Formats: sequence, C-alpha cells, structure tokens
Amino acid sequence: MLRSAWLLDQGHDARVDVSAIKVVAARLQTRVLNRAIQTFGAMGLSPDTPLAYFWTWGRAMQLLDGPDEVHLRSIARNEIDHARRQRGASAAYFTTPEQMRAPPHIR
Amino acid sequence: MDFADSARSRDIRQRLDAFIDRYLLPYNAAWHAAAARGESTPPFVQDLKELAQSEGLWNLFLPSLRADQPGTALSNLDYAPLAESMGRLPWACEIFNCSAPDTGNMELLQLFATPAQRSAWLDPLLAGTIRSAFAMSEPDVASSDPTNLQTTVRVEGNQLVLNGRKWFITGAAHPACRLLIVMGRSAGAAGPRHANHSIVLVPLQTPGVEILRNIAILQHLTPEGHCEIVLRDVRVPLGNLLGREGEGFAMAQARLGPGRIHHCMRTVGQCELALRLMCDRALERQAFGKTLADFANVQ
Repeated sequence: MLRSAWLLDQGHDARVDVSAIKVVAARLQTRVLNRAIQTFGAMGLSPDTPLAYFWTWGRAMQLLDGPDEVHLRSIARNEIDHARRQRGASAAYFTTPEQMRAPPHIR
Repeated sequence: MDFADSARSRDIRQRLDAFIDRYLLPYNAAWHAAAARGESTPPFVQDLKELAQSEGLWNLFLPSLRADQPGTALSNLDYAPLAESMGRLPWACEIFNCSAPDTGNMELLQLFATPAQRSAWLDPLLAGTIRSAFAMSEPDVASSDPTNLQTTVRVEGNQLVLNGRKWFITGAAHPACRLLIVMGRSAGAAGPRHANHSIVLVPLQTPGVEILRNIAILQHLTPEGHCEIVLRDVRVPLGNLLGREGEGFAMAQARLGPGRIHHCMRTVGQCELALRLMCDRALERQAFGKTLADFANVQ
C-alpha cells in the first residue's frame, strides 16, 4: 500500500499495484471483521460497536470502486503481458529426461 | 525499500491523532445519534471543521495543493498513515476536508478545471463549504467496463444536453452537495472505444436532475447517500465541459489511483481498530472459568 503511494508520488504507473492492494484490503477487512464480530458474540451484530458498520463497508468495498474480479483481471493481464515478452525464459528450470541426458551448456 | 514515516509525516500524524482523541471522540456518540435521526451535519461538525482548518489539518490528501489554497500539502506516501487514522471514525474525514468522493473530485478539478470552473467549484470545495458527487456507475450496464456507459452528452448550440441514469452515486444526498461530475458518452461518437467519453460539471439543482432514492448498502442507509439519479434533458453551458471532449477515461484515472489507496488505508485503520476492540473484549469476557483470550480458537 505504501509502495503504491510512493509509486504515485514518483509519477510511475501504479495501476497494477493499486489494483492488487485494493483486492487484498477489501478481502482483509471482511476476514478481520468476521473474527472481531464473532469475538463480541451477539453484541458484534448490534449498533453498539463500529464492527457491524466496518464489516458492511468491507463487504461493499469488494464491489465499489471496481469489483475484485476486474482488479484481478488487470493484474493477470499485466503478468501475462510480462510473460509474453519473455517467452521460454522459464525452460531452464525444467528437469525433463532429455534435459538430464544433455550435457550442461554455458552460453 | 523502507517506507517508514518521514519525520514530517510522523509529526502531522501525531497532531491529527491528538485532535481526533481530544475533539472528535467525545462527540462520536452524538454524531451517531444525529445520523440515526437522518441528520448528516450536526452543528458541532462545522465548529470542528473550522478548528481543524485553523490548525492546518485540512486538505491533507492533495499533493498538488498550492500555496494560495487552504490546507497542508502532503505526498501520497505521507498522507497514507493519516488516512489510516481517519478511517477509524466514519465522520473523521469530513472534519479535515478529506472525504471521498470530494477528494477525487478536487484532484480532477485541480488538474483540468478552467479558471471559471476553479472559482465556481474547486475553491468552495477546498474551503469545505460545498460537497460534490461523481456520477459514473449505471444500473443498466456492467459499469466496471467503462466503455459500456450509456449516459449521453450532446452538443446543442451553446449547451450540453445530458440524458441517462446513474446509481450508487456517493454524496448526492448530502445537504451541502452542489455539484455532480458526470461521465457520459458523446452522442454519435465513433472513435476508438476508449476515446468516446467526456466529463461534464452539472450543478445538482439543474432542472432534469432527479434523485430517485438513497440506496441502502446491505440494509444500511448512510446520511450522505449512495443515490440513484435520473438525468432527463439536463442542459448546462458548453463551458461546463471538464478538460477535452473524449478524454473522460484518461482524466478519470487521475482520481481513481489515489482514491483507492485512501480507501485501502482507511481499511487498515478499521482493521486495526477492530483488532484492538477484539482483544479488549477477549481479555474482559469470561466463560467456562477462563477469559475468552485463553481459548485456543479465539487466539
């Protein structure tokens, strides 16, 4: 999150970082608030604490300002574009029988 | 990289936290009571805003804030921890003039407004005397693909004419809201898909703007509203176009990036508060001879 803010300050294109943190933050909020509400018992459901409001807002943030799915798509397309520019670079990490039979080759 | 707070950020955060503890927390119950009655701005809110502004705790979200504009300019990185603090109370942002959607709207105006638009809209927003809303999402199309947006903007003589339906427009129900910033497609536009949309500044009271309802989020109504709005032959002067025709998407990016980070930081603030509440409760509440904190599935 702080890295995204820093990237924006530097004038870099921070869109992928911002998308990533947006998904993480929204899902984090419902996870944390589910635990917190449970710890309070029935009181956690009432207006007597801010927890019900925070839970509702966290659930809404998985849709508002871009649904999770759209942000995940942006992140995925960025990763795939990156991979497309470096096709085959991961081949050296395979250990197929053919590769094991061939002698090591320093370029 | 180490993103630890700078000394300046730490100092202003301490001042902000002290202000929240000293002035906002005592009024928190009163604010919630007023909100339950449907009042979004009880009198003490205006007093606190004036006090915050006098202490420089104002417009903290805008890195491009100029010397002749009220408030304190901070980088996005330095502002982030402040957003975390403000996230703990639903009404804290307003006291420091850092509320969504106004922050994003002010960023847009700061970047793209003409001098006339600045004095009509940006200056009062920066002064905290008016509120605003950003009208992008529509019920009839999947708005997360913005090329789907259907609200039309047509040029007729020296006017722009808007027609369409928007929803989940945050802030339109706030009594101080005066400005709707509308994203629409230029009628008859035939260019590349991403170059057909424009942004138009629409005064909220313009004939043809009808707020149909405040939509409850999971049964929860907010005073400032998330509204459904119909635009029926809404006419504004040509001078209300923001920036250039067809550049709506590029301009919108300016407000979306920082705004998302602010939401995320407020989320962190809310999660941290929830954790503190949870621990307090677990240490205090007892069942079956132990405190809750002593049970493995609470830990």
